[in-house]
Amino acid sequence: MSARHRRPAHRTPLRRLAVVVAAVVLAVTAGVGTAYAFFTDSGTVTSGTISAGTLAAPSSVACSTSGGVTAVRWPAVSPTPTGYRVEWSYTNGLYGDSGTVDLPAGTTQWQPASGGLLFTRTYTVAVRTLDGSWTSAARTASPTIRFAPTTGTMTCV
Amino acid sequence: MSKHRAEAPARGSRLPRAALWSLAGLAVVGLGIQGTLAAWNDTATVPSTTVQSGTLDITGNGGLVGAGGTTSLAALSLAQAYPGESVAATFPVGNAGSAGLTYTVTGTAAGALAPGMRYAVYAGGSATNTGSAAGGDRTGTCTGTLVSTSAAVTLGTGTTTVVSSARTLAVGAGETLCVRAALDAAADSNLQGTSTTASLVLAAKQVGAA
Repeated sequence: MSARHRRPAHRTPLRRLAVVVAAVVLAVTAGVGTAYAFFTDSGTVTSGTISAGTLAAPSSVACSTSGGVTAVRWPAVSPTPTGYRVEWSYTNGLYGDSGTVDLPAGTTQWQPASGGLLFTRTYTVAVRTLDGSWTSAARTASPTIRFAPTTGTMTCV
Repeated sequence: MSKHRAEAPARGSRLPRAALWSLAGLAVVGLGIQGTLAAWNDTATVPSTTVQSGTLDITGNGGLVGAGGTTSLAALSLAQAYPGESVAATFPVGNAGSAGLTYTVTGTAAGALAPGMRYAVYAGGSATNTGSAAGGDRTGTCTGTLVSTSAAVTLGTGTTTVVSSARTLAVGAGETLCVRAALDAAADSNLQGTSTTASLVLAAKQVGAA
């Protein structure tokens, strides 16, 4: 029987304890190795103020005739919005209807006839500006419009 | 007879046993006393050389020298912004310390407009701003490499990681960061008339730090 296969006669409980203690010391030492401090520094860079504007509604909305065309008109808004939203509605006793038309930037008028208005009714029109997902307050100074299907004309009342 | 005479003096010079024990005791005591004898000694002091700690110092926007600090990037401002508008600005980041460093960037933002803002950070680029407030089409762009976690980081009151991949600066080295701030084209309409300020924190560590 070789010495390699011989069970060591001297491995006493005390020796086993010593081995365990040595292992623990090694483990703790290895753990302490990660606890070394390193220098650090930090600094803060702060932006200036970023403020959001407020979409302006058209300063006025009016029904007018220009160049033989009757339309609802409003002055251009600055800064230029990406578009306008026209909201029209009517009430006639128990009946009523309403609709919304979005118009591209640069448009400053809307012809109700092109919006599918029918019969002789009185419409109220409000205009908002649009910019991306933003909507301005409505300009509520709405004109009253009467569409006459018999003549195909629209008048401002 | 001579033999007898020769033995007699030897017998007569023998010390009594008690005396021998006494001598032995004295010898032992004598050995003990030896330890208390004074000895020559001398001392000499070797003066130490100066031990000086290194410094870790990240700088930014021409400031932040020394530990901590805050600097304002006024160029990153935008007044009366509308959805889709943006602004870009650059600032230098440097290592003024005596050890190499790595740094990451976190951010916070204050103000009601914060949820509608999107930020991006680029390294090694430049900033260009076009458009006008009157036209509502101001556009800021950065060149360089996008280093923020995305091109549309949203900041809030809580700390948000902006640059997570640590960037390395050797002693004396520096680089340029470009920040783009944009008001989201889909920002909620109720953000109109609000404002915000953003803060980017450059957190530096000594090279090799965990």
